[in-house]
Amino acid sequence: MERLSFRKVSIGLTLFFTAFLFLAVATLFFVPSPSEVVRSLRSAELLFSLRLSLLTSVTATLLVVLFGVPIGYSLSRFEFRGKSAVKSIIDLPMAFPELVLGLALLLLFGSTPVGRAAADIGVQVAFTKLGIVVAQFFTALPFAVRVIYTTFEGISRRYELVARSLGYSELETFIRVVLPMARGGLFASTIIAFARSMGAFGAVLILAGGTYMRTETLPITLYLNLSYGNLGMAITSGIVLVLVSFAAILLFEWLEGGRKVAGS
Amino acid sequence: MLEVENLTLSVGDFHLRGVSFSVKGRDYLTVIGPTGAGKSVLLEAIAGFYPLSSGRIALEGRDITREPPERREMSIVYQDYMLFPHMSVFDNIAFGLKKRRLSRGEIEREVLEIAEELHIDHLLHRKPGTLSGGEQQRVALARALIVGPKVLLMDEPFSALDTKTREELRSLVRLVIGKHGTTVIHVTHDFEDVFALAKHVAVMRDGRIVQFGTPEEVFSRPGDEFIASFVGTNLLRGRVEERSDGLTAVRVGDVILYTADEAEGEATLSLRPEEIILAREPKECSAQNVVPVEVAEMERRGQLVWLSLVSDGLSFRAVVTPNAVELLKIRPGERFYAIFKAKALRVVK
Amino acid sequence: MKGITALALVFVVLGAAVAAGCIASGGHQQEATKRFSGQTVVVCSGAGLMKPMNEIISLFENETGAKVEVRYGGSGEIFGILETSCGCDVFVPGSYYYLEEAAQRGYILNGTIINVTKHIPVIIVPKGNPAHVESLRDLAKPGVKVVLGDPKACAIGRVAEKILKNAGIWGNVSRNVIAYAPTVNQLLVYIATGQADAAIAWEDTVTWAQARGKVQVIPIPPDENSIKTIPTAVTVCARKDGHLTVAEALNEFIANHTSIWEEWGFKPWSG
Repeated sequence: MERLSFRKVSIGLTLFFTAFLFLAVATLFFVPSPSEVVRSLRSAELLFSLRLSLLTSVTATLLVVLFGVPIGYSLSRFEFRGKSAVKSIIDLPMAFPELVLGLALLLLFGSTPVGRAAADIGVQVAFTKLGIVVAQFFTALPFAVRVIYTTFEGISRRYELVARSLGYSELETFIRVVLPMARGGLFASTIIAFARSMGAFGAVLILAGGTYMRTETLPITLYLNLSYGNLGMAITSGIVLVLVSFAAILLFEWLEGGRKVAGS
Repeated sequence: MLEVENLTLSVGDFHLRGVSFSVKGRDYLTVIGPTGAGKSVLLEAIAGFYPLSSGRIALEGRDITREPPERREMSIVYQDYMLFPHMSVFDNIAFGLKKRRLSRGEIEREVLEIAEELHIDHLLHRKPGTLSGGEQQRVALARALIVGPKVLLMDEPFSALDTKTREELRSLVRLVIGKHGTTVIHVTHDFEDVFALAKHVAVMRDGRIVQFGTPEEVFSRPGDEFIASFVGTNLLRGRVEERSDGLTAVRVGDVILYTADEAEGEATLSLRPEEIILAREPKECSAQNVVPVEVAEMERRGQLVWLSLVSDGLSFRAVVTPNAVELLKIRPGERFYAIFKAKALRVVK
Repeated sequence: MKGITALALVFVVLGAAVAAGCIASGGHQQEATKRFSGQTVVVCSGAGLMKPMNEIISLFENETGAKVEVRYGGSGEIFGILETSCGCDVFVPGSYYYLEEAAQRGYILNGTIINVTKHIPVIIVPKGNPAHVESLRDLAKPGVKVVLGDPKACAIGRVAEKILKNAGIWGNVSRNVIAYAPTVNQLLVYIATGQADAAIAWEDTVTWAQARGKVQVIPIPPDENSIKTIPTAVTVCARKDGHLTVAEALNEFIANHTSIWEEWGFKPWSG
């Protein structure tokens, strides 16, 4: 009896939450008039920020995967001094707000030796598109590393040992055995990195300035237009963000599904 | 052929403490011992997966201590198969060959050949996940053997299989190993593997090899109390003389013993020490085996007394209570009759 | 994703206002000793006024027993709240401009606008003034890295643009602008961290940083400057929500407590 009512309550809460979330997202689509959305979509500002968002997010995602795979692998497979400290530090940006991350990066690239060294070789991070990529990279990396690490942890070392004994070097084994087996996890981490990069706001705002039509990514467009009082534009950029995230998830499900069918 | 000297290392909670032994070509060494004794670590250390704290490994006279696993010419087979799930059975078997400069035709021929030997030639196009445990382990064996390893390392290869499959696979392994002339080191906790396959046995405890010898040596003359209680049983070798009334008569040394199991030719028998009763007179009783013995040694360990008994060309151990020692006045040099049932004497090979 | 967040925020804001209204009518008898016990009023304030406003609000709550809810944001942002959800009873933007806008659209009750303080634009530079900025004209020197507020997003951006246009150097300065920040607070951070050489910000927002030696302030001469006032006013929403009396009281309370404004570096309005 008690189990039954608990079951009902749980399902009820689930349905209520889903309905509420769905309603909220649906409102986003139906509050503005269609003509307003279309006009916003065609505006130079939105096209600019969509293009910039995609460009920087793809770049950041590639970098995240490029760094995340060796990081996740070494955390999973190798023992080295200070490993547990390294793990906590990498996880840190997940725990504190993006704004703090943005501020920390701004300070780092300011008047510290790192910042001066970057400036000396002509690398300008603050207020630039590079700054957007840097902010997105640091926002997304911990999440991707977490997924990649878990993926590698789930693959028994013994597969690698078997491959090694059959004549394959460490690197060959990694490429021929570990990477293909980690495919699903790597794909998931890519999608997560992309979604985090697309949605990165606080860190991007602080480090890249959030300047109109210059360092304006989609979340910044949303925020700027809220400030401008241009609600139609703000909502439209919200819609575009939702659609891009949704497309990413669909792509993920589709490719994952295809992989599973092919695997059986 | 393979010489292991003073192997010492630590991996997590597992340790090897000065392990030394050697095996000759075509030898079949089984490694037994309680959980956590370091059996698997020993195997993986020989394969080169861990850096050694100290020690030396030589294969055919060549020092391979510092060689990476890929240059040791050893293959490994694990309990849980470890077939690459993203490759077909064919690609799994061919995996080791692909590192060699062979034509596609040669690879296909060799894969097919070994697959036929192991009766998996009809599975080559399948993915490993769709195979039964026994099939997967045969694929793993094929993958390990196809490269012609100098040493085949097996870590509890049959543990995950049911009894019937296990027996089938044991005889298949014996056949294939014999044909390829492979040297094998086989870690197991199943004495059936020892009885069926081993030429030598190493008993491990706490990262050390505490006894090394033939199965008969280890099982019938265990080196110490720990090994005796671990192996538990006597192992006797004999020749089948005749069979009648559901009993098989086996000559062991100069004594005829009766077993309820069926056997032919050479037979290995197992007799647990606690199944043996000692008596001053050869009483008429339902037990079929009555063997005159002399007490060679006796030793009290805990609540039991262990006896070493010898008869004509036959020696084995028995265990009795201190009470029985008092009643029967058991002393070294005294003569008794060892009495046990035909059902207590099991044919293990 | 941010879109959902923003929208959810609007829901929460609405929900909170409704919920607060319910509580207000329900708990009426409990503390009848104070004038506005159990009543609620919502004030929307420019984010730059946070420190004095917090002090004034807690004083008001103590004295009258009313429950004050505050929404801080960029002037444009709180104007958005007023426009989209009528979620403000008292409106205190960082600049008079937004009050005019609101009044034009009929959101402000006649006769409730009171000027509170002066809002004075100044030039701020990092400690040590690396680009040697001494006047408005120096902002136009080649190589000086300037950050300004986004003219569309915040009051200081609009005012800076006006000042520079009046001085006839907008074109040259805008070439030096490396970022237009949507909020005043970012300007201060960028100067304090040395990421830019100069910015135009409100004097009152930089007093704290100035006192700590993080930034230096260079005043703009009155004839080149465009000094603004911070006004407070009651909105028509207060009448709709039935918060009118308490809103009017808070409105005057904000304007009368000049000492608190001075404490935080604001110059009281005197004209």
